[in-house]
Amino acid sequence: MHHLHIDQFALGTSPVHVIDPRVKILAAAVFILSVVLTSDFALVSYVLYACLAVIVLLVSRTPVRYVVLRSLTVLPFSIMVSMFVPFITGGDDIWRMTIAGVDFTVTAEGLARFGALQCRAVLCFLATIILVSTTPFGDLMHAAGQLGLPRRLVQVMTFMYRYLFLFIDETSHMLLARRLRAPGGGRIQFLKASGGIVGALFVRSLEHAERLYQAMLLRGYGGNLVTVAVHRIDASDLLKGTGLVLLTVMAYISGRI
Amino acid sequence: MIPALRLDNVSYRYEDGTVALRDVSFEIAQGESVGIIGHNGSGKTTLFLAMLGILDDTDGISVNGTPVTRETLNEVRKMVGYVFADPRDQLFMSRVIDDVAFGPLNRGVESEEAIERAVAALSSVGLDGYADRVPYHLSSGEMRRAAIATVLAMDPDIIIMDEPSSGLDPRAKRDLADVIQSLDATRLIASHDLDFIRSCTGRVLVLNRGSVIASGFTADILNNNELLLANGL
Repeated sequence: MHHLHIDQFALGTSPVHVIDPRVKILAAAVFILSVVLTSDFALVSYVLYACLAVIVLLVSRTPVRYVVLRSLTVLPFSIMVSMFVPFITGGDDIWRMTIAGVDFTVTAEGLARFGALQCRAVLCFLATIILVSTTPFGDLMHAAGQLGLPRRLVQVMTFMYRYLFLFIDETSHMLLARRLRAPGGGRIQFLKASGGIVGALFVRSLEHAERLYQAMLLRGYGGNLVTVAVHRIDASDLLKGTGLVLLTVMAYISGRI
Repeated sequence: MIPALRLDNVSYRYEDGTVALRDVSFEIAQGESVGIIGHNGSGKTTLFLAMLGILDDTDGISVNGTPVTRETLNEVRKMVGYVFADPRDQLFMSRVIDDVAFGPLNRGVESEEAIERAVAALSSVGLDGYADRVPYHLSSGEMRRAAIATVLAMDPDIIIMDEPSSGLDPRAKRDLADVIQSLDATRLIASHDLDFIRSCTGRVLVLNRGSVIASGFTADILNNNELLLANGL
């Protein structure tokens, strides 16, 4: 079965793809930090951040529609989390209503903060998706490990990503097998069968993990998940990384002037 | 000449009391390609796990003259490569090249050389240009060949393959048999696919309920219908 991998465009050769993954992670981290620290009213900064992200996206030759649509998926969550912000932020009232004797007031400051929160969420997500779309997952994990992410965590994430699709396939095969033997059926029946499926998946995963560990031991595994990622930071990486960080900082400062 | 593999009265019983191997004895010469045939549950996989030192308390096995013990495990595992029945157990990294180079890198080979060895191993199983592919996206036949490449990259003296032809279409089977025949290492192949065994081994051992029932040239054993039927084949 074919699945859409989050790094399906990561094997490109664009100037963004070839940057050392460590430099990319650090540049993305600076970008996200700046976005988060930008004040609610610094519209100029948000526009410049968006321009920077779009330029990087265009240079990376990753499908724009794919990245933008994926970035927007964060909106329902960020809106849900911040939906009360316009009502609870103090400032100039621009709209007022009373429901069941309770006053609801929307302030200009509240609306600005609400808008800024959505901009931040989308921009941070955009940066993360550009990072993941231009770096193979294995390289990303390897670089994260080199940057100090605990080794065990890197291994767990690598295996999770690698085996997630196998897990999805096994689940869908079992669900199909259930449907073919018991078409329709009530909710109770479905829940009963689902319980069995979860149990079977658990046992399978456990056995699979055991054989996997044996396979690793037989190939000399000694606690380290070594890969052939032979990335070296060269002058061009440094130049591109510094450029990205400087542009991000400039966008941040523009909003404070 | 020291045999590549020697088993001397090897027995094994699982914790639940099931006897998986009973007094198994045989020798395999250097460079030989030997098939082990037997019905499901005849003890083929247990035999392999014992040879690799994965099962505790199995005495009487030696690889290139080195007895398989807890102390010699590293040495033995350098000499023996094992291709799992399910290639998904063998391919656990995010890229084919990382999987194939995993063994050499763990053995302390430098990155550049590990890449060279991995590329050569991929080429020898007909997977040129597959280095950056995601293992999970390969077809069953490609996955099987990539799994063999992960072992070839470690340059073992003996290669053990567990059910290598299962789930493959006829063409993929023929390709795989060609790959196996082209190897210089000593090969031990477990299968109940008799046509496949005929195409890539010179000698066959018949295993039934953990015991070696018969041993002989592949053609002689596979033409003996009575023997095959009596052993669930």
